[in-house]
Formats: sequence, C-alpha cells, structure tokens
Amino acid sequence: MVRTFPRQMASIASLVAYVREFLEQEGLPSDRAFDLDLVIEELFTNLVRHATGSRGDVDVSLESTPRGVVLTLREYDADRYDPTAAPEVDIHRPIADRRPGGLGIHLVRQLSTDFRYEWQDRTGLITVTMKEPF
Amino acid sequence: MFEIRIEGETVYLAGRLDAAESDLANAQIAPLPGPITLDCSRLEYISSAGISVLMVAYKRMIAGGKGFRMVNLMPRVKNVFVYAGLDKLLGIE
Repeated sequence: MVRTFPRQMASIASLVAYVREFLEQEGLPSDRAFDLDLVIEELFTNLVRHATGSRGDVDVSLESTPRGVVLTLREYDADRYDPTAAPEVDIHRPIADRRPGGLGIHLVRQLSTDFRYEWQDRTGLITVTMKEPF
Repeated sequence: MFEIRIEGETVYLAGRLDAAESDLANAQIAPLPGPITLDCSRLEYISSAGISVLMVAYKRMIAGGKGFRMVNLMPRVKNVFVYAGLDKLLGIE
C-alpha cells in the first residue's frame, strides 16, 4: 500500500489517516497505530528538515509481513542522507547535558527490529521493520 | 488535532502534540514564568518534536529555580518518555 505525500509538516495529518486506513485494510488492531505514527513521523519530518537535494514528494508504503509491519519511505532526486548513521543518544546522561537532537532516530531504533537505508541513482530508500507488540 | 489551555500554573494538553503542532505548544509555554504543571490526561500522542518543547521548558524552569511537573500521562504517552530515557526526569509523576 503506497501513498505519495508532499514533503511538508502539514502532511502529518494525512500520514495519520493513512496508518489507520492500512490497519483497517489489514485487519490489524487500532492500538498498533501509536508506534507506527511515531516512527513514520520521526522519519518523514527528518526528510522535511534535512532535505538538501530533493524537495519533491515522498512515497510511503506500509506492508504486513510475517516478520512484522514493514514501512518504507522513498525520495527521488535526493542527496545521500542516511538516518541510520545518526549517532546513538546516551539516554543515561543527566538532563542538563541532554539535547533534543537525535531523539527521533533513537525512538525509531527502539520501536524497530530492522532499520536500513539505501541510496542508488539519487533515490533514497528507508526501510523499517516494526517490533511486534508484546 | 492539538489543544493547549492555560489556567494559572497548570497547562492542559489535549490531542496530538506532533511536529506540526510543536511550534504552537512552544509559543504558549515559552512565555510562562512558572512554576508549571502539565496536565496530560487528554494528551493522546507525543513525538520527539513535542518532547523537545517540554525539555526546553523543563530546563528553563529548573534554571530559574521554578518547579516543573507532568501529571496524568496515559500509559502509551508515558512509554515514549520511557523509550527516550526521560521517564525518571522531566518531573513526570
């Protein structure tokens, strides 16, 4: 199930609706929406904020697989920007030393079993396999 | 849909505090002199963008010797703070 979204913060509402449509279509419980919303938002907003090449639309797909729900975000005519290379956040540092930056990717790592990035012919592809709920 | 309402020292958050709404939240919270109690009983969702706003407010309160508390978090919202390693910080009760 692939859908195209304009690369702007205002797309978040449409992404939220898309997640619910996907869960309903796949017969998955609605309480799966929270984690999916969070991972999609963190990755999508990264593409909005950090886009250095393409300003074009982003293709988002969701698929239910035996390994779990697989999410992809694909951008075209894009410079290389690898979110999986973001440094780990040290969550044990005192609050005074904590900075908000990098928290989004940290959350993606927490909620996924696989998180990868490919870049070829100026097409960037982020693939995330979501953790299954306990 | 995100709503923020301020009554005295209490800030009521409701709905979804995401990246599209974080500027609105920050604009409302940043001028408050403190102390601040955030009532999150109707906050349904928060992402890192929302957490960033609250971290900035928390640090500003602590630097000024003022209190900062977050109360009545739904479990799924509190989980995000757990993942972020912030559940024991930010004055969450």
